Amino acid sequence: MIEVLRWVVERALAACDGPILVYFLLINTSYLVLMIAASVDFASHLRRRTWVDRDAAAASPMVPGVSLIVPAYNEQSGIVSSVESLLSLRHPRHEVIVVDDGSTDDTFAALVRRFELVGVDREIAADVPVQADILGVYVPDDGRTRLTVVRKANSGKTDAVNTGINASTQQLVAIVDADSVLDPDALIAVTEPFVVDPVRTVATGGVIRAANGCTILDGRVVGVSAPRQWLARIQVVEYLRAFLMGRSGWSRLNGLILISGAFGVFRRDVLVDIGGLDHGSLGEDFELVMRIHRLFKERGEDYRVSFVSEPVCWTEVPVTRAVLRRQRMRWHRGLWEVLWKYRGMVLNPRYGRIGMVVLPWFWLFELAAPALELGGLVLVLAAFALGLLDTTYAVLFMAVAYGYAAVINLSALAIEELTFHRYPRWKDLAICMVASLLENFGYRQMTALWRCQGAWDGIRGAKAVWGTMTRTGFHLTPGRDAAERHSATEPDPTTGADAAAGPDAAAGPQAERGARSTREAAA
Amino acid sequence: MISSTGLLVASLTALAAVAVLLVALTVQARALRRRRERALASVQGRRRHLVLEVASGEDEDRAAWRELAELSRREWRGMRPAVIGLLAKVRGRPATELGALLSAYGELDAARARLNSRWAGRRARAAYLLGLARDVRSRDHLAALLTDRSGDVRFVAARALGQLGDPAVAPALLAASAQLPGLRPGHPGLPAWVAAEALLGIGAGAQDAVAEAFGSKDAHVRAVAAQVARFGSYPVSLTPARVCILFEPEIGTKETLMGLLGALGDASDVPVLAAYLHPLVPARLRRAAIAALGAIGTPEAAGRLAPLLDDDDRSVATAAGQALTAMGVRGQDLLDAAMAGAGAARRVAAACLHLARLRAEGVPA
Repeated sequence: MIEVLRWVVERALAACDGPILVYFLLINTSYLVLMIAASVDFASHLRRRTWVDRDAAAASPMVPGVSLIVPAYNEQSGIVSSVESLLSLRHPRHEVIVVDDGSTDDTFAALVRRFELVGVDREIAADVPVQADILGVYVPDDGRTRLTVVRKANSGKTDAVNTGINASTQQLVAIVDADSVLDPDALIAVTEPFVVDPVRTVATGGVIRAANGCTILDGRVVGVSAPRQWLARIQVVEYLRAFLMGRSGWSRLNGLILISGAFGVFRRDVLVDIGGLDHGSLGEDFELVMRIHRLFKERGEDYRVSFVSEPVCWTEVPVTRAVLRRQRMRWHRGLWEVLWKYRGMVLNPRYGRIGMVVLPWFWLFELAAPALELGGLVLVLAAFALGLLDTTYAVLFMAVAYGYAAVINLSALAIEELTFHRYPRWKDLAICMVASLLENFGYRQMTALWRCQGAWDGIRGAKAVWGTMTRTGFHLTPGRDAAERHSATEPDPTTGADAAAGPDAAAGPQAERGARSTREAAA
Repeated sequence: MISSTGLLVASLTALAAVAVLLVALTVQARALRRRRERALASVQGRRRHLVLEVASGEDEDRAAWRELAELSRREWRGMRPAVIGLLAKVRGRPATELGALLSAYGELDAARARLNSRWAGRRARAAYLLGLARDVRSRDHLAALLTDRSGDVRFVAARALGQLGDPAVAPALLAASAQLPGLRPGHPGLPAWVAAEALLGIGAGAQDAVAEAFGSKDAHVRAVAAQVARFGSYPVSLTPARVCILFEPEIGTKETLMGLLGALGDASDVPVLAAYLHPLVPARLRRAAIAALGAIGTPEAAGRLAPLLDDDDRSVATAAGQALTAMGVRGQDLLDAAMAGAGAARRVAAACLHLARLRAEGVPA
């Protein structure tokens, strides 16, 4: 038996020798290219920031109006401050549309109390198909506050967003999670590409950062610091890497295929053209952007999907392994399902660089990476155990593999420090540096395993089960550490995984809270 | 073996060196930034009240200005960002005084020289400063930058010219918003909103050039003209806009022109706008025409809108209800009449009247 195993491992080592080196070289070189592209993007962004007058933009009648769609399911604790915060964003013409997706808690009652809502018999257009019946439309009784609350039977986040699209009245539609905290200028900034290039820009996405550890007062992040839990600290670095390198880099290369569901802006007419969000999709935000790419490529129209690197949207990241596991499984399952759905675009010249470069990259280095990483790890350990590999070599090999990953993380930190430097304390900087290294000791392998499980669930078509995620939100009590509240209210992990949303890590982690907020009850 | 041990050792050493370098770079960047911020805060802390005095217009005897004009070179470097920051926020005499301060330190001469720099970033920063300082001497030079090869420089030059407010540059701004030679088709020299904002900054002095631009063959120029006329409410533009709307192929521009007719037009524009109410017209244009008819508010306009409450496209019906509400008593009478009827019109009318009532009751006494 041992001999057979030795033979298998020996063969496997021999077969993988060249390919692993090539893969290793390609993946890290691609990260390097993305990093350089992102750096160029930031330099350009920071240069422009000097002379782009946001005050003027905030008051300009020419800035297109935005409808902020907030799907909400059982968000009673944070919904009021969240809506107040969204209403007070700097923008000359924006409205907030809360779609209460059949909440079973006091979400709607809290809104009624705060905004003195009254029912209006307003018709909601049927521009995009929706599944659930609308139970009522409500507006504040002052008749002026630009808030509309739509109540509907529970049917999941995608259907709630589609209902919001139908209720929206502005040219642009922003999809925001009920528990996201936006910087005051976030809306002005993320709609800027639509103003500068109104013909070509069809969608933009903003940066998502981890809110854990930050001080949040009245729906605003007023103090930024690192979280207290190492699990969250590692995710801070992961988010920096994903957004500061992944998304910015792809955007610079005109190959952005993912806009986070937690904060994205789309042209309403484009959303209507493509029929809104795909109700059956687990990675609905990823799927939406892919559908936009396919539509415009097939029409042969010049268009642009952009990423705005500042200001940002803050969201909580999981602080328990159970929640993190579900999140990563969901993301990877969503990634698999969307990539599989759009497999016809891969290496198809008709889809330009999306088909020829970006999608193959996602298949190779995003979808396959965790499986290859785990496989490699198992092989090296097996070879070592069977005496096929000497200790020095095994250690050196692992050190190089994970050392490169740490260098990528440190590069992201350096870029963050040279550009936006949002973490003001030396202590936080040190924590992030340590987290950059720690990621490789356990966290990376753990998430790789979960991602493989997620993809496998997708491949075998396992039924997705959504768990209950009762939350207190981080808006209510000013100044408290968001992560503490998060962990205090984390649900029973045995209730099962919630919905899938999209790809993770290097391609970009998404805010899990948004993905789960309304879908969870749909199952 | 996957690879030679030597290669791995070399790779690991290189990675370790890069990691150390990155940590050092990060730490040094923060340390330098902190030191710079402290130095700036120290200089600005002592003199900031002087800048505020000048910027608020309270420096009537110019004592603060003189004190600021006598700073050492080093102290001035510390104060400069504060002066430029405030210059972007003030108008009138305080802006002139702050501009004069920059001039006293040779900043404007240096900026004029930098307009010819090989580096786009320098040209853009220089144009930005000259615009803030309302340096009229740079007008022609800034106008020349409207055709610069760098989009950023064109952008900043246009804004600077808008800040100068000289009507003589209006034609150049409109020309720069056209498709420039060397740029990809569909990419105008200036984004429409930048050109429009600059022209709006010039004010009524630009209206003749804007009116003339309605006849341009370039769609980008017509789009800018329509926006400026719409948001600047230039009466001179009304006649060319009425002609332009008949032939304009761009939906966005047509929509803006409808807004212009709604804002400045009269009963004679109702038939033209009413032609866009037909069900085969794109909903976006129908809604724009409805809003324009609502803004004109004549009995004939109201009569055209009332039947739309029954329209199959409910977004059009809602827009019609809102337009009737905005008309005041005349429109509300029609909505009341629709309320008395049956069918889909009744629901739209009820919702619009309800919202109008809420707005009326919500107005503070």
